[in-house]
This record gives sequence, structure tokens and C-alpha cells, in this order.
Amino acid sequence: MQKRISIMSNSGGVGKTTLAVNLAYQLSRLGKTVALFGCDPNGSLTLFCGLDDPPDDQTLDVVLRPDFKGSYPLFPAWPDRVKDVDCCLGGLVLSKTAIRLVNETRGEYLLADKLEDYPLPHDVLIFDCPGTIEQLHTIALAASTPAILTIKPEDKDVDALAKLIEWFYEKRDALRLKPTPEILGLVPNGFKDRAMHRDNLGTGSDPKRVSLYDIMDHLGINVFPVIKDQAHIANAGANGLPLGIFRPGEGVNAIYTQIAKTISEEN
Amino acid sequence: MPRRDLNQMFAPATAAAEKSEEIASLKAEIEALKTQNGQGDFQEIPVNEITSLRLPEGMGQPRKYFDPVKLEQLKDSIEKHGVLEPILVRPTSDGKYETVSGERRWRCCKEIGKPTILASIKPLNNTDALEVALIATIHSEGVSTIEETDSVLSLMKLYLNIRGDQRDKKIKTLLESAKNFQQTGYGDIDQETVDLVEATLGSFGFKLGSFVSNRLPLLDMAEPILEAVRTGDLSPTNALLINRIPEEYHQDLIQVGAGATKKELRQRISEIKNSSGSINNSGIIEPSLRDRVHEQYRVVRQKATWQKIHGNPKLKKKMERVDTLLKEILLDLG
Repeated sequence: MQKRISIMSNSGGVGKTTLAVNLAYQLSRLGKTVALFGCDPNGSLTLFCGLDDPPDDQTLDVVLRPDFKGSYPLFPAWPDRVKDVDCCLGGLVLSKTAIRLVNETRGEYLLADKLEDYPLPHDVLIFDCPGTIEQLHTIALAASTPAILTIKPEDKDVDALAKLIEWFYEKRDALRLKPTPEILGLVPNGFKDRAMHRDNLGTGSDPKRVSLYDIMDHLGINVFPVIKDQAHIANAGANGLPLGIFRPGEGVNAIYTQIAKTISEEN
Repeated sequence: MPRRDLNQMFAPATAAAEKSEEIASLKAEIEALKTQNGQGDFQEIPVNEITSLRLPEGMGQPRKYFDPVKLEQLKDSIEKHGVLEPILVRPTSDGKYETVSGERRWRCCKEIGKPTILASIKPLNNTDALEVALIATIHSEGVSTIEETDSVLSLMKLYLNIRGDQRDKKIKTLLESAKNFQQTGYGDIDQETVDLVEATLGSFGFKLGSFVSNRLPLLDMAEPILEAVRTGDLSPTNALLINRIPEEYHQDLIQVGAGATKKELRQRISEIKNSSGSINNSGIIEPSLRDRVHEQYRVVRQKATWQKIHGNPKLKKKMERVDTLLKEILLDLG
């Protein structure tokens, strides 16, 4: 069965697009075909894949139109390095799409419906969601099998994550999704060795302090290994490449591989 | 100001997750009953050893109203194809069984005289039995908004352990406080309760705010009407119709409405409306003065009647008196 992963967070700059492109790359190395969906009006996926901003009629917006008949605007990513990673890009036009969807019949299920009516051949679809909960999150959730959440261990991001998780459980029940999407795991990103981050990740000076691990444990949500803040990751993105191509020797690549394996083994 | 504790931050998320999980597993159980026919842990049990779910006073009750037309349809289907989904029963101390989910199917079997019915037998305490029954009701097809609202409230009473005579009032007040608390952050209610309320509503796709504004008023019916719905005497649609009529007609209409179709009840109501009269002691509706005068004048002014009056000096005189009286009335009015 095709896997459809939503990558979500409730704050910006916490590594969603970085994770999306790196997972796509690692999945392709595992022999999977991948389609990346840029659901963010900021169009960051375009930059991270080294592509040019597409015209509006070549974005996800056209897929989310009632008259869409299955010709997905797909652009190959890193074609000289990998096969079978395609991108359906976002962009500013999506801010209008989100408003339009509110009045559309089955607006929330539009992406799910299109993917059902006009299935893509890829093994894995990855939806790179915007940085705050909005309509595009809902349509991605309605179309996804599991979701992966990313977070930076700052208090403000942790608080926003709590709200995202609450939203997730309530929304998935409200949408009456079958099969019910689960949270595949949480990816802590951009860890810096300072008190607040240590506290939230349970390595702070007060051993009794409740950490993210305690909470996730209680919620039954898997936590992937912590990805430390490092310049190479940002540089790779800025150069339009996954870290695995930009710096294949970096240890962090192993974490992306691990998450990619979890996705491909997930039932 | 100290940093916020993570437990506090995640309290609503945890509540939402737990409620989602719990309801999902109950739904799955109910779903499993629907899809397995004959396979698994099911037994044929004698229909006459089953009764309705009996729960202690004050605990609330699951669905009670069963649409007679739908019952007939189900009976036909059972006669043709048998019972397609096993029912869920719990064993009782007197060696019998009570229906937890599938009361309609059981009733139909009883009425057509089927000796046995396929059932899953589960020992359930009162609270669990009611919870399963309520969730099954909320998810059943064709459940009315009133029944759905009522069942959601009953479930909430169960989770929040609200009992006693005033329980209906208490739960409404609590929901209103929860809504205020959610909007303003103040109120005589704690965050934990608000989280539980929101999570319960959320798991059925309701938002606290809209549930309070749109669903609660549905239950603001006169108590006798609501009671008749809960005991199963009155259909929810008929209840809504009756509730729009002034209170003095309620008793009468509840009796008419029980067993009457919506159309029959409508007819009765329009009779009342047209007369806009009052009910005398014998319960017969009398037309109002206005309607009486209007109706009599209508007859009088018909051409044929008028000619008769004109040709009869006695009647003509009387009519002249009517004319004088009407003039006087109009003069008095100024």
C-alpha cells in the first residue's frame, strides 16, 4: 500500500522541509519511489530541491481544483543523482487555495479524493506542511496514513507542539478517517547544548523535571534520535540538496536513514 | 515567572489522545460486531431470555425511541436474510441477558417469533454497558440530532460522574461554564474538566462552542416532551413539532403524537393553529371569538344567504342590528 506521510509542526523553522527532502532522498536509496508535496505557501520545498519557482498553474493548487483530472505537475528532484523523486510544488498561490477550499464541497478531503481518483504510482508520498496549523494541514491529514512531527526543543515550540497534538487527535476523529492516521514519531531538530534544550530533552540539571520523552512516552508517541543544530544541514538546504548528497559523510544521515526505514517498514 | 511545566502544556493533548484512543477502541469493537457474521466468539441464545438493558435509576439510559416504520423494514429483512450482525449482550445475575447494542434487532426477532439470535456475550458493569450502548447509539445510522445530543450528554455525565435529580441541569451548566472558561480563561471550573469535555466532544467531531450554542438548545424542550422522547413514547421529530406549540397544548399533543406519524401530528397542530382557540375542560378545542365571527360572517355574506336575509323582514331587522352594533364598536374604538 502507498504510504502517505504528513510532516507537521506548529512553528516555523523547525526542520520540516529539511526532513522531507532528506527522507525522500534516503527512501530513494532504499529503492522506493517518492513524490514530495510542498503544501506550504512559502514554497521552501522548491528551494530545498534546487528547483525554480513554478508558475501558479504548475503547483499543488491545480491538484486541489475540482476540475483536476490527474495530470499532476511533477518536477524531478536531483535528477542527476537519484531516480524517482518527484516534486509537486507549493508557493504563494496556496494562500489563496486555502481560502478557496473552505467553500469547496468536501474541501477538507480534496487531496485525499484526488489521490484516490487519480492515484500516483509512487511508493511514498510526503506532504511538507506549513509552519502553523491551517486548512492545508487538514487536507494533508485527511490524505495521510501516518504523520511525523518535528520540533525544536524550545519552550515555545514545545507548547505549540502540545496544541498540534491536541488538534491532531480531535481533527482525525472529526474527519472520521479510515484508516485512522497515527503519529509515526517526533523528530527533535536543531538541538543546541544549552539549558532549555537539555531540560526539555531530559538531560538537564534537575532529574525530576518532566521532559518531552516522559510526555511522549505517556502519549505512546515514538521519539526519533535528536538531530543537533549544525551549519551543514542549513547549507545543504540552501544549496538545494539533501544532506546525503551535500555531505554524505555526516553522521546525521544515519538518523534520516533510520526514519526512512521506519516509514518503509511501517504497515 | 517560572517556566511552564510540560505536563501542564500537554494536558489538553493528553486528554484528546486518551479520549480518541478509548472511543476508537470501543468503535472498533462495535465495528467488529457488525462485520463478523457467525465467526468468532458468538453464540445463538434464546430470544426470550433477553431483556432490555436495565440500569439503576439516575444513571441515564441509552436510546429508547424506535421508529415503527424502520422496525417493520428490519423485520422484513430479518425474515428474508436473518440477523446479519450479531448483537451484544451482557449476562445478568438471574441467568438472563440484557441488550447492550442491538436492541432493535432483538425486538424484531421477538416480534416475528425467532427462537434464537446470534450474540456476543460480554460481562459488563453498569458504567461500561451504558458507555458502549451510548457510543453505539451515537454512531448508529439515522440517529436524530436530539438523540445524538442526549447520548453525548449522558456519556459526559458518566465520565464526569454527574448523578442525581439535577443531573441534566448540572451538565448543561457545566458545559456553559466550560465554554466560558475556554473563551475567557475564567470560571468556576478546572482545566482538567474542560479538557475532558472538549476531548469527549472532539472525539465525535463536535467543538465545545458550537455544541453549546447549537446542540444544547435542542434539549431545552418542555420537560414532559423530553421525557416522552426518552421513554420512547414520542419520536424526536414529533417532539420538536410539539415544542413549538404553546405549553397548554403539550399534554394533549404528546398523547396524539405518540404513535402518530409526523403528517398526522402536523394536521392536528394546524387544526389548533387555525382555530387559535382554547381548550375547554373536556379537551375539545373551541375556536376563538374572532374565528367564530369571521366564519359566521363568511356564510352570511354569501350571495344566496344574503338574498334570503334580504327577503325576510325579521332577518333583515336582525342584520340591521348587527350593522348598528358594529358601528358602535368602531365608534368606541375611535
